[in-house]
Amino acid sequence: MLQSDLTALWLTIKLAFITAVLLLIFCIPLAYKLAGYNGKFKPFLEALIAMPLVLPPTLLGFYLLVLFSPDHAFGQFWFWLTGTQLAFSFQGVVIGSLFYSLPFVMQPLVAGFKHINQTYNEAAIALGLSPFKRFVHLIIPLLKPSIGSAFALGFAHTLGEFGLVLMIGGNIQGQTQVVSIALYDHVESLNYTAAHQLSLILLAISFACLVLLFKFNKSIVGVKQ
Amino acid sequence: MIKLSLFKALNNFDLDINLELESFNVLGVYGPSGSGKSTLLRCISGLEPAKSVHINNQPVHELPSDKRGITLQLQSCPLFPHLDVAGNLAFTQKHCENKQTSLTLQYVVKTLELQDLLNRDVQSLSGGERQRVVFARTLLAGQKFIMLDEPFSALDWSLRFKTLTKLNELAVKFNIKFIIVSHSLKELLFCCDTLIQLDKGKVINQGASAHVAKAIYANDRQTPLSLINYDVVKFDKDYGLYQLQLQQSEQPLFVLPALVDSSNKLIIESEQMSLSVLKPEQTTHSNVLRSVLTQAELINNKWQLTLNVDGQTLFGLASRRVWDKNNFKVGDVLYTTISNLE
Repeated sequence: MLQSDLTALWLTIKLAFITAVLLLIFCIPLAYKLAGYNGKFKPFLEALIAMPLVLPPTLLGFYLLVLFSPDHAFGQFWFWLTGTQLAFSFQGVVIGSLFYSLPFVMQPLVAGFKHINQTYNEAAIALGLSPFKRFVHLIIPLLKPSIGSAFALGFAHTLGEFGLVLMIGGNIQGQTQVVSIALYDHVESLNYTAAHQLSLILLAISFACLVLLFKFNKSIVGVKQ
Repeated sequence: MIKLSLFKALNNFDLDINLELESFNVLGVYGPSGSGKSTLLRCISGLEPAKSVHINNQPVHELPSDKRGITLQLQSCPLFPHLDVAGNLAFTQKHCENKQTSLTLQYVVKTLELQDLLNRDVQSLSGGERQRVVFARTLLAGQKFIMLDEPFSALDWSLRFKTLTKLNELAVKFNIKFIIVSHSLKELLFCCDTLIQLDKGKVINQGASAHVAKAIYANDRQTPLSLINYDVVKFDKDYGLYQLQLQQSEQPLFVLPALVDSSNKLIIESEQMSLSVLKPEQTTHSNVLRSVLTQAELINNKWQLTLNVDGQTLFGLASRRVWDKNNFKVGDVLYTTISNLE
């Protein structure tokens, strides 16, 4: 296996892991609020979160590239803050992935919170438990399978990113060249052996993620009562 | 004196409660489906917002649930599935704050006979076992004001009476006020000292259980139930029956062990009773009580008869034809044969 492929593989796993972890950190409190919110803006919020499901990744990548450019206030702010540019950088790809995989992490969490709210949280309120104790000692432990599902989905979805990474990150070895782009390069250069090797590894990792996902889904609380 | 006032606008009617009750141990809330019983409890606990909720003239509607000092056991209340039975009980005892009773986990487990269930996964429990564990968990929240919404509907009658007896004992021993919602008048009559009847969000009857129950029989075309108190005399091993004696009386009853518990109460349905002017001799029933007919009312084309058995009240029914044929009169001595006890 080529050294550049191993680097791309490591970069992909790093990207998927960081994206999934960051999304969990952002999404858990957001999903908690959204699951309990029934106001008139709920459909708009839900649509906004689900947008990456229907948008072409290149469209998302295009807008982010504009946002990251030194001509844009956000790009200027980032340069002032870090001294680096987001476009064609690993950090930029991470930010793009956060948008790209947002619905895949958010939706299992919202579903988990809704299920817990309707049954177990209500029983705990009726028992007289304080909101803090309910969240820490009941909701989070009950949410573990949903957190597992959300992580597995977010991780697996980020693994397969192509169009968005190409738009934001380009194809820089060791910085933004992920497995899907390296695979594209091998096919372009007719190196099918390397393409097969990368494809098989990606298939195996994706399959393992989905096995984990269904394992978590099975244990999501749905108790016979 | 306990005062409760509550107002909440619902889709079809307003839940509008203004109650002043003499102190009670167990208050029953009876009413048809959709009369507002469960909503009443949810508003008192704070699970649902209400325009106003006052308990003893103190407004509580702006307080969060955990500051009201009230525990509600919801209908079909779930156990927490990530914990086993012991874990569910310990969870409540550990995390519920501001406890007002000295109930311990060991005491509750022993009282409700849950020892064999402690290590069970909650998903493996039957409906009745789950309800007993949920009740134990409710008690361990440690409040002196506990509301129960259809808490024992999955228990068979023998176990339900036994658990209701424990509920009464807990009310007295730990000074807990229970409010229990049920659609079963039999259950409420057995365990409640005070009863309210709810219809379309309003209290239409309130007072002592027997008094309210009688009004419900008359208005709702229900079969009357009677509650009699007894003392146990002895267990007859030869026949496998308990010999009982009506309290303040020497009249005996012979009943199956399943019907005898520490409550010393028996519920008698009017269908179990037959009346005769002459004392039946050599019949297939041994439970015949001498009674005096004290009242007779024609309700829904049937005579509802109130009988005095040495100070205790039994309610019986007679068709108009039987009434006319036998020429019963208030003041008559009637012999009441009770079946299905032995």
